Amino acid sequence: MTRNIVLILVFIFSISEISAQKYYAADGNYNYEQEENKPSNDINTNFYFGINYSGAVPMSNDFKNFINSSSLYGASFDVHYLLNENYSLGGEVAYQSFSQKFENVLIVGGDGFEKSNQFRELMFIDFIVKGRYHINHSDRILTYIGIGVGASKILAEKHVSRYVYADDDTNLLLKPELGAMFRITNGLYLNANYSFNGIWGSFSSDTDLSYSKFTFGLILK
Amino acid sequence: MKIRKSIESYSKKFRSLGGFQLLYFTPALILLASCSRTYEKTYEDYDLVNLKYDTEIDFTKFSTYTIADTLTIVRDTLYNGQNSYPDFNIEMDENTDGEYSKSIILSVKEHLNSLGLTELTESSNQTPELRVVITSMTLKQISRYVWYPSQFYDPWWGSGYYNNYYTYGVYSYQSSNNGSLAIDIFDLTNPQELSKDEVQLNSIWHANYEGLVGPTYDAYTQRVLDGVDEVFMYDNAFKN
Repeated sequence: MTRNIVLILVFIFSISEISAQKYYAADGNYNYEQEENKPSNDINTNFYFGINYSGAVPMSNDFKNFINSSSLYGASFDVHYLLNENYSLGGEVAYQSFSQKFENVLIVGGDGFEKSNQFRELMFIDFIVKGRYHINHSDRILTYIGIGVGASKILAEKHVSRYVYADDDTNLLLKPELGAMFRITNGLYLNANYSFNGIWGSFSSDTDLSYSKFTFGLILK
Repeated sequence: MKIRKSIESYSKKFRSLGGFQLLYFTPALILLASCSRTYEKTYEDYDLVNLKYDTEIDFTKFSTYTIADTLTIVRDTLYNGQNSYPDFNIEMDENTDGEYSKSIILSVKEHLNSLGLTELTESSNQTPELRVVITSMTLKQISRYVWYPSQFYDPWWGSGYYNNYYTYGVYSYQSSNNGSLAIDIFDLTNPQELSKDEVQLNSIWHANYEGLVGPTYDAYTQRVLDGVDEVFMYDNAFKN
């Protein structure tokens, strides 16, 4: 897992390095003319596409009571259509998986007990409609805030010995977000994003399965 | 029209600029997204110990019990004959010189005696109040998983055909040697009369260990013994 992340980061930095080298001539001297002619504003197409890796942290007590461990397994794909220079509308499909092993879980009742190791898993598959406000449009960094509304398909599993207890539910998802796009090359950006995934009322009316998500990826514009 | 131009513009950009770099990045993300954290399960991870007892009964009133000298063995007779699977209870005793059965019975006796109960033998004149029965079961469980490809071609029926009579799934088999040990305590002081000649004894205390047989018979025996220890460690019926 760590190896994969390192490889991805190396790849991103290598793209950045290739981009930087474009402004150097063959003799190694800096090409000021080409630097001056590079595009100053990147919003020149109305669509942009993103592919992201995400990590997440449980926020609610209900979530932490079931799994109290952060997730390093997630990804999302999104597309946005720019209505004008500041506003965009888009959609996102996202996946996030949480899991944790619990050793020697002892459940004591009034008429006995049960003891075992447990493996618990929560998976979220989100389908979201999003709106974004692009705050600034500098050459290098574009910041934005946004709000998403959608459906989250939630799959919960608990493995006890050879038995699997599974349940699923679909719930409303509210996802405020803020992020920044860092230009790597013309039309290609590195995306960093924080969002709060609010999911209330899954499995039972008072259950809160909200979590925070940190997203890193590439945006093609 | 505006959207079409955007798509054309995007397409050109994709080809001329960083598009293919994005494609290189895609498999890594798909790899990450398609998997979740997996845990390598050990034999201990399949262990399950539980206990259930009748809360209406005052267990402290009992003082004597009897117990069989051998385990009650539940055998897998489903495949008896040419396809029969080995009986792991017998194999275990053969491979451990009978230690599997002996050590479990001895352990249960020691725990009951430490609770202040006295074992009565057949030669005893006293009438026992409790009867302890230990049941051991091992079964080879075979699960068959069938996967149906979403699209496949059959020369007779054409592509995408599926019916219940002729399955075209991809089969995989998984087998496991499941073991369990149940300890039941029956109340001999309160038999239920079913008819003039027939009475029913009620199990008032039922403990259970479940797990996978392996990796060696000695290791499984030890895990069963640990399970017996835990049953009496967390039992509150006799301690109240």
